[in-house]
Amino acid sequence: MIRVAAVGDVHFAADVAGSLRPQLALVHEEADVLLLAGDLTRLGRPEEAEVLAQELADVQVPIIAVLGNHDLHANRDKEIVDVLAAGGVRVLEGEAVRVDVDGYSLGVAGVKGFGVGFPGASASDFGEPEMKAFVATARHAADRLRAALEALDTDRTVALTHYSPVEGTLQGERLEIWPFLGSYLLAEAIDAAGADLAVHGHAHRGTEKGMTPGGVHVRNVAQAVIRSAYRVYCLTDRDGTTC
Amino acid sequence: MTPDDYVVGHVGDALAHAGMSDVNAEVVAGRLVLTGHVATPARRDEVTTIASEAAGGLAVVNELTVLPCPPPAAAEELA
Repeated sequence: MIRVAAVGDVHFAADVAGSLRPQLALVHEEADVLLLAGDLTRLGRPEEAEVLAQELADVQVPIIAVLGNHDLHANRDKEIVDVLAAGGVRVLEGEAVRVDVDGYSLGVAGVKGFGVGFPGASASDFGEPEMKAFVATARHAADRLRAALEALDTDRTVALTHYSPVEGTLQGERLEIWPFLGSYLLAEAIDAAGADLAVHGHAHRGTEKGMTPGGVHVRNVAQAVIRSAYRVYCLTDRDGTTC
Repeated sequence: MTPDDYVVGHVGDALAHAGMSDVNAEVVAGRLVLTGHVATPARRDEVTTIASEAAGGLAVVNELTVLPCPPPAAAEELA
């Protein structure tokens, strides 16, 4: 079995330095890997990422992240990735990474994702160039997630995104903004490629638990939803061995 | 939509630009009421300042709570 700790939307900056460090320093006692589901910074500034990197300095398990929309606000996302990488955080965007734990392998495929909405209330590739670009961005993200998942050959796989792949974890958010919170294209990619768990953030007023139409567990780990430093999900052995 | 909703829109935009994603704004009885969560007391005060500047003279009532960050609950097992 593999234990996955996850949190999203920590919106880090200097004014919250130290708020997570004591608990993150102990994450290895409960988990084998730590996933960060985007919105790592408040305003997308590299100096905010430096504060987060310092906050993560005591973490003794692999840290894997995707960026969120906040992290792109200042158009300095490449600098943020570099700062986090220097701190030992692997930031994924259309890529996958493998983690080996006690003879088991975990694959994590990550992409920020994008909105577009959900069947019956989604944006379409029609009309203004801006609308076509919106949908194209969502499709490109989903395609990259699917390719990253399909490239994995591990015992267990996790899809890590910032935007939600399903409506279920958006319950509690105003219906009008769902197209800006997630995309069914992400769920379609996850179901097509297969995964054991999908983790996302972004939906602060949503709910934690959902599922794709194909039966993949989806967990919204936005910190405002989980109300804790992180959550731990144990992917149990296929022979029934539990955590 | 009412004229008060213009204020709500402008306040929401100002807060978004400050990276404050967890704040709800609505006009109740002529006052701008803010609800939701922030990470620290300082951010709660910052929200009041930002909202007041965008509220078009409305009184601002800040009912934001500071989000607790306790240790995680027991792990959830997923087969």
